[in-house]
Amino acid sequence: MSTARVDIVPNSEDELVAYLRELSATAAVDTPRCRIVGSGSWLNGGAPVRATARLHTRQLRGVVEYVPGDLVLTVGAGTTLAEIAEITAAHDQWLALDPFLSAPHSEDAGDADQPSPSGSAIEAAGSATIGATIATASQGPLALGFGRPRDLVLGMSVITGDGTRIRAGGRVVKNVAGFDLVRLNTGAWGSLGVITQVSMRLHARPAIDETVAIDVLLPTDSAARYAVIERLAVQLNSAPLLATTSSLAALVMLVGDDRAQILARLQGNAARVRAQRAALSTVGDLAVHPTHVWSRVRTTLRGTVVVRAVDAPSRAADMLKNVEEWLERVHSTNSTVIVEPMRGAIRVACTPSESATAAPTTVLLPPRAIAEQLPRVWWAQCAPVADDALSQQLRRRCDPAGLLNPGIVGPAVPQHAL
Amino acid sequence: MIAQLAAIVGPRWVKSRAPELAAFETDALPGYRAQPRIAVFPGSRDEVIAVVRLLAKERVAFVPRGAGTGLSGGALADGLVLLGLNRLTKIIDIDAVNRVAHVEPGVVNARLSRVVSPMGLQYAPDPSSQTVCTIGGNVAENAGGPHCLKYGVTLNHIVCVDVVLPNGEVQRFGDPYGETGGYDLLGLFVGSEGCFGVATDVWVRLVPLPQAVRTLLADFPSVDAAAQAVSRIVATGIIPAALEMMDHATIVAVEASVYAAGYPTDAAAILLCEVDGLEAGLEDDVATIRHCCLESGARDVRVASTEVERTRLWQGRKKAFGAMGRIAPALVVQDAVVPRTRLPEILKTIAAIGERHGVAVCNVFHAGDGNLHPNIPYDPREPGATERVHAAMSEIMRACIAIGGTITGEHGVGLDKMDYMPALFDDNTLAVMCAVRDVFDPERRANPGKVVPVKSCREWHGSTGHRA
Repeated sequence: MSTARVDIVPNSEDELVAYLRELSATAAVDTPRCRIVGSGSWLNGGAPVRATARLHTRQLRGVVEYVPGDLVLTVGAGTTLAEIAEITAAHDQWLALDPFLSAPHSEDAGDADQPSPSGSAIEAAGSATIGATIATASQGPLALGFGRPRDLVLGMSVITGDGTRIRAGGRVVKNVAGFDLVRLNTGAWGSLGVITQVSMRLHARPAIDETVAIDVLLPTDSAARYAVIERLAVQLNSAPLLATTSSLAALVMLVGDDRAQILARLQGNAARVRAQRAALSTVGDLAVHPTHVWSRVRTTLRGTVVVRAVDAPSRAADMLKNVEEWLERVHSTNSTVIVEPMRGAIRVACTPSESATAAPTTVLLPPRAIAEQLPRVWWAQCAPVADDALSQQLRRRCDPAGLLNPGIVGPAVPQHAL
Repeated sequence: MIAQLAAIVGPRWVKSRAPELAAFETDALPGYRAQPRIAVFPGSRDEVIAVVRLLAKERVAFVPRGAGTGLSGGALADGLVLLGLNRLTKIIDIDAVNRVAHVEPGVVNARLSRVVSPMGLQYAPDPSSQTVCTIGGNVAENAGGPHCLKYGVTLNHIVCVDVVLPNGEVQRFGDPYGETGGYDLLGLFVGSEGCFGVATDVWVRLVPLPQAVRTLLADFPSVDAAAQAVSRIVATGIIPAALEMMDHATIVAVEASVYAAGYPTDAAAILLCEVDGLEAGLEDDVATIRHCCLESGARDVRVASTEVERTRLWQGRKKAFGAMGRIAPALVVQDAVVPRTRLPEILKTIAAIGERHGVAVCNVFHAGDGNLHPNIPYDPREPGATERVHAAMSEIMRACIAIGGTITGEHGVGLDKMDYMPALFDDNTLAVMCAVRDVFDPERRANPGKVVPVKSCREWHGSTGHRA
């Protein structure tokens, strides 16, 4: 693999169109392949990308259109979530999207593109760009109340791998005109095109936004431990609590060795938040936390391995058991486990022992797990993403020369193409 | 072909004589009429697959169809094979604990909600045709409805589909309980208007029924005042379950029909606003919304005090198209969306366009998300009427596009809106849409000639054509 590096920093969509058009027209074995880079905080996410050029979206930033009364914001893809938060807060609005971050770590760093680890977790949480968030369909605890990125993105501009500019979707909140190129590119990891601009649905800030915590002691006995988790999951998902819990903005359970902490985000008018608090107090004693605790939750998943899995909410305890057994097998230290019992989701970050890292054959991922970040040698053991025939044809249509983020979806890139 | 199809589904379920086929000449949008060559109605998933495989082998084009209540001409099969899915009506499984239902595509929307309601659940998307339209059709069109303002459209409620591709291959997109790591083929399939294949199994998300519901009716002296109230309500942060507007012409049509709901017939516009969710705090929301309406100039705001009154208020809204159908022999229905702040402006523009062309435009629409339904009832026997109506509607659609809107919020493009596609999307984008379609259906046999103008495809990728 060549170590030569080119940094492409287009200042406009036109420059990017021209660059990709030329690149794809002349594509040869030694043509640079591009790693698309927003703020660089996701460079360890996804399967290893083998690229010789870095294509930066950072200059494609700023507000394109913002009509607060429409609750729709259109920005350049390089705009950070922190910038969006600031812009929208001025109108008492917000983008209800708080992706978990693939926090930087020091070891086995894909392309060795290490984002600076300096700065607080909160800064890290805000430095992610909207383009990368949509490209990776990254989501966080607010997905419970507001949906996933695919539910919030209304439109986008995309430059496909052959330099074709498309404008998918629109800037209105309801739109079924034509085939859904917005959903196609959301979560496609930039492998079909470079997202240059996105239109997002915003929400008005609620009158009250309160976070409460419930601490739950977990028995040391394994069977009793999972029984407690199961009981909690069932309680949160069944009448009479369901009407309340499903109206929450977010609810996560941080699972430790001997205790778990449920964090819930209550929003609405005073009477509604009071009712939410009353309902949750039937689960355990409530302690009020500052809202910025969610930034910690989003950045707490640190390790060389980050995986997530989603299953039926009723199987939350089984999922946790599977994950914890797996953590033991890989001799992980410093693991963090977050369960979202309303969504049936679990996320785990850990740093497996060196021997486990070096011997990938012993480390099959937990059932249903989707890998976000793995040591390089582990990726080779994972089933490739989007390598079905339809997906691969879509990719070939949109990026015929295979220029964009090669390796991240589909079969591994053959050596001769590098 | 007829014999081969009959061998799969039984002779009773293959129709090929003109009188039998007449029922399938139209969908719910008047103005388009085309008879299929053959209509075939498989009775099981396996039969659907066998039929699609036969059609693939014979390279015959086909059009999937649910209840035929679409409003875009999308389910018309002009001289082609019509593949009716309305015999597949089984609700296969309801997982109430995890709030997922597995249904066949022919299940009627309202039936699903009715069946799950004793479990405290509902299927949220509620197109006005929900008492007859099917889940499969909803998936194909990415259907909406009044309550999509809060709950989201069909796309947001479908978690998995099994699909027979036009070539006969069976694929699963999505996962009933989780996620797949690859491209969002499920998101791409929902709303693909029957061009990407036929769904044989659909898994939908169910949501808890709200603890409480409040329905308000606000009465305005001008359309502008009602539109201002919409903006004010949206800005408060309250997300109403529904926020619907009806103008004077619609109110009069509804009140003169059997669906009379007690709307004030002297109002220039009314807003029907519903909030739901936790009982706690709902009265405060009602008070805030009432304040927004009065501040915008509402003459009166009343809250439905009984379930009967609430149902009646909604019936007037849901049957408004039918009521309009009563006042003239023909009706053109449109489905544009504009940015919400442009509502007052576009409603004035629409009125001016109607006046200039001498046609009466009735507006009944989902104001909360800017989804307009300008409708024009008319008499096609009157000389020049059809031309004037279509000229006016075309101008209205282009005005919506010009202010940043779109041509369909929930009805789909079908045949009816295809002419507007080049005004909305540039050539590149249309060409990529064609390329995507060609991945699913390289022979262009599934609902051919709909959604994206063929011209857009030829220019970029050459035509492969189809035959039937």
